[in-house]
Amino acid sequence: MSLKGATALVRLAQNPRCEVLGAMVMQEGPETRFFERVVGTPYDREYGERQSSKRRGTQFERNAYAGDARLLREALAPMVGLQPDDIRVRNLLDDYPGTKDDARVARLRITRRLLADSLAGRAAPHLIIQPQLLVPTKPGPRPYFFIAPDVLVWMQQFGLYVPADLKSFVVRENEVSRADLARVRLQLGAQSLALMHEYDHVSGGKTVVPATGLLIFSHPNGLRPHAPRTEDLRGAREAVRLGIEAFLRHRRRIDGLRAGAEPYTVTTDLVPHFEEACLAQCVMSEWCRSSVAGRTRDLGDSAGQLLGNIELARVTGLLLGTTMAASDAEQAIAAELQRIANEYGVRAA
Amino acid sequence: MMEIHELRQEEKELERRLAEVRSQLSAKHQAASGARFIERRPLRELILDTLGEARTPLNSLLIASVFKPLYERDVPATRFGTLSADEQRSFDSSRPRPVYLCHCLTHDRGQAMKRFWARSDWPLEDRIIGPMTGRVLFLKGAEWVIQLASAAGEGADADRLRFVAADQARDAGCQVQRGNFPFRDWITHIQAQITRYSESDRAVRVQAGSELATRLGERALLFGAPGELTSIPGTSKRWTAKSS
Repeated sequence: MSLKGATALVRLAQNPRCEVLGAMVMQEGPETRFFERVVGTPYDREYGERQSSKRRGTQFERNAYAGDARLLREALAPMVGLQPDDIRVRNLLDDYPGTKDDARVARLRITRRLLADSLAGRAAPHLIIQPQLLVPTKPGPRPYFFIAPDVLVWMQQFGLYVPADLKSFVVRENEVSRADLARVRLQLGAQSLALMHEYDHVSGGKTVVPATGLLIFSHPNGLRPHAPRTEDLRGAREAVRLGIEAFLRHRRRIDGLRAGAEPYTVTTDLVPHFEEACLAQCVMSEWCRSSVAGRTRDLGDSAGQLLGNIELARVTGLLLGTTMAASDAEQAIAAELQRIANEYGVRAA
Repeated sequence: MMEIHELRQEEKELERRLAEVRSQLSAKHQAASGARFIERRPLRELILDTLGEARTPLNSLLIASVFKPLYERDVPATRFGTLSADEQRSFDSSRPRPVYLCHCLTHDRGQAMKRFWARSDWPLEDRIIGPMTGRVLFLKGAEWVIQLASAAGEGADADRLRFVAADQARDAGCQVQRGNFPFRDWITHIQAQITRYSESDRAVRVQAGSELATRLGERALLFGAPGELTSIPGTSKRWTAKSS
């Protein structure tokens, strides 16, 4: 699985300071191949989505889209402001099925036309299933990211489409864990940015797209859609925008270093930014972690933020009082460390 | 020039008669030797026959799901793509066919909806997709499958067909309980829904048909009008400033 589309933008938004991530996004081919080429050994740890999750997601989407999206129409009728039977649906996979780029371009063309039809007051569908959007990052390698929300929903409140994503997570009472919610909000944020771009494309910048998205989770039983959750995407959209800006910076630097070679060739010259979350989602996490070995960041994000990225040996010295603090900030840290050491009876061996 | 035209017409007529003879022959073989002859028939012929029986455009997903119980054949999704390309190549060749497999067309621009299959010998308005036609076609397809299942005898294939029918009924909003197949109730429910949309949907399709017939050539009326150019990546400088 290569790092592209909304997944790449979400990862960049989560860790915009990591240049290695920028190189991974620029590199063609799967992430594991990137690891293999940089480290020199095959990636032998767990990787990718579980088969059971994929099957569950596929079945949930199948259920939601079946019968001219009957279940979705029922779930989204309050947002559209019509009875389910009166909602118009267009599944762009019926127009042009497939996942290759030519199919995506064809669906992008149709999506743009439908957005224009809607703005012009012509009969447009209220639900566009599997639309195709695009976030431009030209000029340069990776000049755009294809973004494909599950559904665009025409909301009566705005008179515009907003992105909606189907999630087959097991949730109770429509509540989802904070970590999952943060990730899917960023995903919606990327979709909302791409929708802004497409609306700009068809209306010449006259349309202000609301920072709103819909999350549609599955009922625990039967894989049926829950009532949609309306999400405020102001923060997520800004985070993704910053992630894109970071990618443009990384790309400039990598392009300057690589002189036409493939991006992975300059990985050792790049500045990684290791965070705890990298361990759960990036194949390069252990490699990047080696850059903070023996320093406070290796203890975790909180330790890194609290103590600064100083050497652990220096922290030990401050704690035991064998090292002099070099600044007022370090003095405060040393005092706090010594208080903790006294409380827990920590002494030099 | 006139002579060539006449010869082409004659060739077309002969192809049509040949297709009729082949169809009769296949029916005789089928009666004599069961499903084995069906397996040898080309996919396009089977799909043409299926569409002829259904008398409504069918979605390729539905075609694939009924082919297993009807013809003991698996049809991978990618096969429909090559089938479409083959059919267009055949149309472009110098040997015309009496009937082509073709796509339904969007009502406004006449572009192909590749997953919806139709026959070229149907009236144009029956091959057009209006804003609500997707739902009507789903319902008609579901009704057809349920009728097939209700007429099926016993055996593994008939069982499989009943399950496909039950899936269609559930998707149409009918009550479905495991092991129960109230075909009559399902059909009544679905027909009531079709009635709700059919008149206004037909009006849109008839009007669109007459407009598209004047705008598009013969090939585009079968396989869809070509799409306009798409700018990739297309952008304006303003968009990044409006995100907050």
